[in-house]
Amino acid sequence: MIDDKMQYIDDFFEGRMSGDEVSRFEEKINSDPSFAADVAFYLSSKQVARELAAEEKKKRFKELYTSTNGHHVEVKTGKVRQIRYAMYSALAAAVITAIVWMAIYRNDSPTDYANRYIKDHHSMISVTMGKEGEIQKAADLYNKGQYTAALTAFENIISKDSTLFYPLEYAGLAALRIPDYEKALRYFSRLEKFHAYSNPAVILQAITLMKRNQHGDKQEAKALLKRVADQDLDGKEDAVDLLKKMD
Amino acid sequence: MNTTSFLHAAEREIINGLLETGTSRRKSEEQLFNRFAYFINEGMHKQGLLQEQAFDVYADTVLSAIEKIRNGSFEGRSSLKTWMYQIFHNKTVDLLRKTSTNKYSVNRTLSITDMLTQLSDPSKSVVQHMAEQTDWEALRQKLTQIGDNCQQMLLQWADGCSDKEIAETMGYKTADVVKTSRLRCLEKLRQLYKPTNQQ
Repeated sequence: MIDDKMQYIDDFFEGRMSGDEVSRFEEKINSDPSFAADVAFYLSSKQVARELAAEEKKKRFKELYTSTNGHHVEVKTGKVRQIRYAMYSALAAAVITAIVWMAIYRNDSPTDYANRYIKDHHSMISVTMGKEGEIQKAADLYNKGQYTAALTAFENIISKDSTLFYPLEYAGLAALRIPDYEKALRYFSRLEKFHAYSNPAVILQAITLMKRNQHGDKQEAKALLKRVADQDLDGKEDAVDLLKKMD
Repeated sequence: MNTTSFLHAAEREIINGLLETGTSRRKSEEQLFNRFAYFINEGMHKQGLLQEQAFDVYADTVLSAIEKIRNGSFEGRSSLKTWMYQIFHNKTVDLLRKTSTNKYSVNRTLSITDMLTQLSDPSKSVVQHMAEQTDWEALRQKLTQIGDNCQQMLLQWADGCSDKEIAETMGYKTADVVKTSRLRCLEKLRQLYKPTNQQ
């Protein structure tokens, strides 16, 4: 037999209640611990089931990956669909040509390219759950667009421990967004000395110079981008692309 | 969802498939996985991840993307590749950070936080407090013991399928029948879990 309580809880979470019923549901949670425990059980069960469902999918993906030996599998499409794709491709090619034409004649500046790069890659910075409360708070400020406050927060963290990688990178990014170019360059240059798996320090110095775009900055930025491309540093694909655009 | 300008036709097709049920959805999930599986190699060569780590990060990326597409958070403002790569990159950074600071916890706990959004703050904290008492391992074990049908039904429900969708994929007559069966399964799980939890 179905427990009425379970049905009642399900109605709430499946959005089958009116405004008054929702209020009564919440009151019951606050006044009846046994009911609150039932709600917790309902949600915990859903979470565990969600976790198992994800594991099943991961198993399927693993089989897929193993069966293709890690190579990308092209999905074959039907003939009609192929014709449709060909039409889309032709249309897309025309649009791209128009965009390229506009890009050439619009003559974007290094600052425009830098702004686009920052927007694409650093609009938000990654926030990790866990014990890194201070970093998380500083990152939240950055993600809300409060760059000066974020910079101060990251600088506080760095003043306590200058060996941390991400606060240094993020302080540089916050300075770049303000913009305080000198500070950004100083932080990215310090970042470059870290031996990390993934270190975007050099491309970020180039981006800072491109965004500032004062006398000599463009040439210096291009030299840095070339270094990223030649030495296969973090951001190589973008560096190659930016070099092409600035030629 | 506004998935217009930046999406390739094949990507739109995958997204539409993910919004469907049963075989179509499953096929689209696999197509999505295959489409950007080369990220795994990038994770290994660019970020220095082990193959197993790179696979895990990529599989989590795909799962997260599927969830976001299904709940409408993917707005199609960038190409699917750019969006997926951003998720992949963030997850890689998280992993590297956890590894470098030895915070890689084997016995991680689950959280119901993201499911509490429908509740107001006071009720939320009461339920959250109750959920902290959950013995996740025991609950998980009991879920694998409630029978294949029940398990599949609860897994599909938790994966975001509606009762109507579950009825279609599992061959039930109506969504109402699924709802009744699903709640019975939850009740069964509670009965199995209770004795363990009361010890």
